[in-house]
Amino acid sequence: MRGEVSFRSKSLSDYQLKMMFIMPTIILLIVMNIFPLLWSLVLSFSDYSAINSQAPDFIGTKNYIRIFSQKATWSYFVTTAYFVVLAVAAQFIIGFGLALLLNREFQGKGLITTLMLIPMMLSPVVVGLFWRFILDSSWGLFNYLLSLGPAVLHKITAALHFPSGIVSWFKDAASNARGIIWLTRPKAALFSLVIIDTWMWSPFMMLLSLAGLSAIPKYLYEAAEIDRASTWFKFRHITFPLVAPLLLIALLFRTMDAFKLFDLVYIATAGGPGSATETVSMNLYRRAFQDYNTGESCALAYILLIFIIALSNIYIKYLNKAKGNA
Amino acid sequence: MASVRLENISKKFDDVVAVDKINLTIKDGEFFSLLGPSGCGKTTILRMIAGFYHPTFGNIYFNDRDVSALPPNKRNTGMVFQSYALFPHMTVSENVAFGLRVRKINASERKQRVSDALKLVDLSGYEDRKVTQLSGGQQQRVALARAVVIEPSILLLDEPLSNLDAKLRRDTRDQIQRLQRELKITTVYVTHDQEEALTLSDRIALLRKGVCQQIGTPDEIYNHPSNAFVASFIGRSNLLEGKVLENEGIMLIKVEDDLKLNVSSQKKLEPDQNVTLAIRPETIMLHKNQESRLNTFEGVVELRQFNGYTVEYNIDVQGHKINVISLNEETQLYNTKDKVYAEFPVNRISIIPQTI
Ligand SMILES: Nc1ncnc2c1ncn2[C@@H]1O[C@H](COP(=O)(O)OP(=O)(O)OP(=O)(O)O)[C@@H](O)[C@H]1O
Ligand SMILES: [Mg+2]
Repeated sequence: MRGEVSFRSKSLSDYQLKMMFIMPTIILLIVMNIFPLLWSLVLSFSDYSAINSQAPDFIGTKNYIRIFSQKATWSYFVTTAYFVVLAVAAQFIIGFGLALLLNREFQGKGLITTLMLIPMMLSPVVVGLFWRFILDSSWGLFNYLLSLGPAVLHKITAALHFPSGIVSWFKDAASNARGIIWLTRPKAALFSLVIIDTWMWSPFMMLLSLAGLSAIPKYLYEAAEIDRASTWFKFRHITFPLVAPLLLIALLFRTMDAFKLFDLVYIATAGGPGSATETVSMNLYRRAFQDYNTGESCALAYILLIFIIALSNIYIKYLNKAKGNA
Repeated sequence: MASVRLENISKKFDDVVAVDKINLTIKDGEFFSLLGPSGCGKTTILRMIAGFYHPTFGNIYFNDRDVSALPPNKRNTGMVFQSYALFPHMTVSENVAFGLRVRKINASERKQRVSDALKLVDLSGYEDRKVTQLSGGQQQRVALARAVVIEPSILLLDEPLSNLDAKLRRDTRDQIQRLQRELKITTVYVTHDQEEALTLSDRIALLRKGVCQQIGTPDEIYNHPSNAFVASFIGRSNLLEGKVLENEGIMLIKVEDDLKLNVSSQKKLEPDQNVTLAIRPETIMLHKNQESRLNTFEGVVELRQFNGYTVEYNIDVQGHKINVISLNEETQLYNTKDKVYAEFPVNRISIIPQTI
């Protein structure tokens, strides 16, 4: 005790000690976050290419004007929006559904929950790579599984001498399923990305929903039962309003993340075929590291940032409303 | 309104026997308390009446209708949970209206009944408050309003006052009593607080380890405890072990050779039977002199505690520690080490046969 006191009085005041602990973080933040953020803001108003030795040349809002006047830019935003809406909606439905199923006591609950969480622990690069194999149209597992149902039904209907129309319909369905081309056709490719992202991130939705669900005390349901509430009524008026704040947080995380989707696209489709899966982030990458148009890509990055902030604010507004209710 | 009959009810959780062969009938409109120490099975019985548990053995009847197999939502009970179980995301009136909304009662009638119920528990004007912004006592009353607004035929209350401080507890207790008298609703009240049970109840069932010890009015249970557990759980009792010497009109019980007590009792006990005597501290009278009173023995004051309007003494009578509570009358204060004479009134001693 005495040693500590004398050590402090000799060398460091409370304030200095505080600073000593905080400084490393502050310096790291400034170097890694704040400076790049501000520097890229400067660059977004400059004509600059990272591979030229020329200094940035201030050109005002020209970068922004160019980006906004390109028709393609809008199509990247539309592609991204499609992806965000489909993927986040699917993840929400699947994740929340799984959470509802898992929110009860049964044998092996812990093991099943852990297994379900594996997808989100994997690296997106790994996920992208093996889904490329799974979705392969000639020998991928996905098409095989899809065709399994119709194939079995085909066998059964054939064996039971169903009308030949039905039998051949199943046969066609099976062979059609086997031949679906996923990653190299425009519409299917975007849809594939949705499938992969959903596979990867539904567990996250499930985890947060489960946390919310298990925090609802059981006696609330008992009180509702005494009042003769039906299962649906209980879900609608107790479960849903009470987990809503947590669901909104999960949705916010997923939306922000999905809006920035890059890694999966880069690995699975590289934005193709054509520009069917070119998300804003993918396009940003292209401008920055393929065209080396650094100034322009900084401008696009800022546009994306503003979009995401605006979107988050909408969520946060709803979140505050939901929280105010709870 | 309804009567409730439990017929040979038992409940086992795996190996634990929570409730053991309970038989009791709760009359229509009666305020009935289940009293006992923690873990004695009170909540389990209440939850069986509500329908959350099904008895392992035995049947439950409401008005002679067997409801043993019915789920909670078919029993028309109202319940106040120990934790209140208010819906945190709803306002006071939404909470109270919940059961009415489930029953699809139209908005105007709903509003009327909610406001009536809130008036009943003195919460008019709080309709639009969030329940999370209420005090414990107010939340408790909202829970009460929610339980009665659906006009249940049986009201179930599980330790509704246990989260309140002493003063609030007394106020709310009075309110529950008034409400029950007003609505004349059959009420089952769970508590571990004997004072609560004694003041509120028409009748009490005293439980211990899932077994019913005694059923009776507060007065019966207090003045005529059926065993040593009841005698010491309800209020305080001096328990003395003795043996019946004779039983002719008035019983003579020998505790020590020089401590023989006369007891008036209707119990048919044979000489030589071992008994326990339960004597309430407030029934014992202290005197300065013997003056040849009946049942009066010499003792020494060991401890005096002044409690305001009562004074509590511990008296050593032939090695038996006797607890005495007297009213505070200045002329009769005794000091420690004083010699006193303790009188045990003949008709205020309870006899509990020892069954071994
Ligand atoms: N769901 C359950 N599973 C297993 N044992 C239980 C369960 N509920 C109660 N018990 C056991 O049954 C016995 C009676 O419990 P109960 O909750 O009825 O007691 P109680 O009289 O209400 O006590 P308290 O005053 O503490 O609320 C206890 O020993 C308890 O451990
Ligand atoms: Mg209990």
